[in-house]
Amino acid sequence: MDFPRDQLEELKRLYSGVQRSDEGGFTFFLLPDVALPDGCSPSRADLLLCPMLRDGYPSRLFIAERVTSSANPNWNGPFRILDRNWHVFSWMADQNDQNDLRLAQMVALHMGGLR
Amino acid sequence: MSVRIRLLKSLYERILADLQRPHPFASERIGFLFARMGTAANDTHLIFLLDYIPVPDDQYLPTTDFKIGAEISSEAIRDTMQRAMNTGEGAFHAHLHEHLGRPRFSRVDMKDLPLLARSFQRASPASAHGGFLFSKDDCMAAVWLPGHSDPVTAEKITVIGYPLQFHGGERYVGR
Amino acid sequence: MLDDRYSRQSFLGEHAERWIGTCVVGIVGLGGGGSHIVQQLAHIGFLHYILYDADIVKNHNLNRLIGATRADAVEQLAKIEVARRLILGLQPNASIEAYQVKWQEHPEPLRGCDLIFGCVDGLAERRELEACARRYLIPYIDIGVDVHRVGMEPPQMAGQVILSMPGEPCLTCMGFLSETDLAKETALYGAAGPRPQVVWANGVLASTAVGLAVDLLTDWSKALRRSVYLSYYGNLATVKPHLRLEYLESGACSHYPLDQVGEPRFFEL
Repeated sequence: MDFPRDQLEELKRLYSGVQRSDEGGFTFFLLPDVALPDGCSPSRADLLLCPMLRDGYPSRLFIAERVTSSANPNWNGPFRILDRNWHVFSWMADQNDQNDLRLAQMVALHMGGLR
Repeated sequence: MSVRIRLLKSLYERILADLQRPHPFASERIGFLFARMGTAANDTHLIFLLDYIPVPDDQYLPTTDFKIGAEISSEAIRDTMQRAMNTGEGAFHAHLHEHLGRPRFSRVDMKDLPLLARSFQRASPASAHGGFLFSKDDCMAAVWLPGHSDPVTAEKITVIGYPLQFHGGERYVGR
Repeated sequence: MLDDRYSRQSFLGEHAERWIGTCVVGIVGLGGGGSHIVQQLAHIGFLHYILYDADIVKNHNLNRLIGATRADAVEQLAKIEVARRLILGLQPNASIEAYQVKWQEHPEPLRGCDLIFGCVDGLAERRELEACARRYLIPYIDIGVDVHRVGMEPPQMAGQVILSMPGEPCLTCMGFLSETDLAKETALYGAAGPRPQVVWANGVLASTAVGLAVDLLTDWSKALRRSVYLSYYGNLATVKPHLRLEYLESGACSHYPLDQVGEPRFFEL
C-alpha cells in the first residue's frame, strides 16, 4: 500500500530510524526505541504501526513489550508479526472514528491509551 | 551447523529446462541463482532460492580445454556480483551434469567455485553464496556461509510443489 | 517380525517410506485435532517431529484427546508428553522436539519443518502460523471444527482442511481468513467461552489432513496438483471441496509475494 510522501516525511521527522515492511498483505512501520508517555515502564520500546484496517481496527499500534502505566491498559498478545512478538492493548479511543488520520496522528492517538 | 535449501518447483523446473538447452558451442549451460536467508534452531541455516538468471549466450567464451564444459565472461560474473551487492541476496553458480542420480562436483568445479564464492562474499558479505549442481533428477549444493572460507554441503534441498521433493546431502537421497 | 510393518501401505510407492521418514513435521496444537494427527503420523512412519502445546491434560479433554488417560488428567500431564508417549510407542527411534509453550515464544524450531499442521484455536493464530510458514516456504495444513448454535435450530457442525502451499493461494485468498471474521474474533477476545469439540469430527479432519500430507510426500494418487480447501459439514458427515476453489487462480498469491521470503526486510522511507 502507498502512503502520501508528506506523511512519510513527517513520520521520519518524528521517529528516528523508522522503516517499512510488509507481510500478509499488510504494511507495517517499525518505529525503533520510541519514548513512551511519562509514567510508563519501560520508558522506551519498539513500536509497530499498522495503518490499515486490521481485525476491525482502522489502525493498530503494536508494542514490543507489555508496558505498565497509570492507564492500566488491557493487553493482548503476543502476536507474531514480521518474525517478532508484539503486544497490543485495547482502549476506548479505538472505537472512535479514525478515518483520515495522518500516520503520525495514528501513533499519537494510540499512545494516548498509555496516559 | 547445517544448511537446508528451499525452492519452489516452478523455479526448479525453469532451471532444469534452461540448463538442458543446447548452446551453439558450449557443452554445458550456466546460470546464477539468487537467494535469501533465514535461520532455524540447532544452528540450522536456511537458504531460499528465489530467482534464476541464465547466462546470456553471448557471455559464453569459446574454449579448447575439453575438461571445461563452459567458460563464461567476466561480465556475467560482474553482473551477478552487482545484483548481489544491490539487493543483499546470495548468489549461486548453477550448472547441470547430464545424467540421472546424485551429481558430484568435478575437479574443475571445486577449483573454480571457491574463487567465485569469495567474489560473491565481497559483494554481499551478509549472505550465503556457492554453487548448485543439478543432474536430470537430483541436485546438490556447496554453500559458503557468511564469514566462512570453507563450504558446507547442503544437508537437504526441498523442492516445494506437488509432490514435495527432497534432494541433497548424504542422508537424503534423491528420487 | 517387523519387516512387513508397512507392507499394507506399499501402494504409496517404492520410496514412500524414505520420504515419510525424511520429512520433518511440525504440529502446532496437540488437542483434539493435533493428537489425532500425531497418532496417525506415527503409525504411518513419520520419524521427525516438532511439537507445540502449552497446555496440560484436563478432565474435559478426555472426550477427545487421543492417547490421554484419566491418570494423565489427575497428574495434569503436559499434552506434549501425551504426544511424545504416543509417538515413541510406535516409533521408538523418532526424534521429537516438544515445547510446552506457545509456538510464538520459541518459533525457531518450526522454521526447520518441511510441513506444518496447524491445529489451533482462532483465526488470528492461523494467520500468524501461515505467515510464518509462507516466510519460510513451508507447506501448511490447517484443520479446525466448530459447532454453532442459532436459536432453537439444531447445532451446526462445520470444519475445514486447507492446504496452503507457498506460491499458491493462501488462507486469505481462499476466503477462509477475512477481515470481517477476524474483527468479530477480536471483538470477542477472551469472551468466546469453551468451544464444543467431539472426537469423531476431529478424527475426520485429522485423517483427511494426514492423507493430504502423505499424498504430498509420496504422490501416490497422482491427483494432488493444486491447493486444497475441503469443507466438512458434520450434520451430514460430508467433506467436499469448497466452492471458492473453483474461482481461484492457481499459482498466484498477492498476500505473500516471494520477495518477502526469508528474514524480514525493512526499508528506509
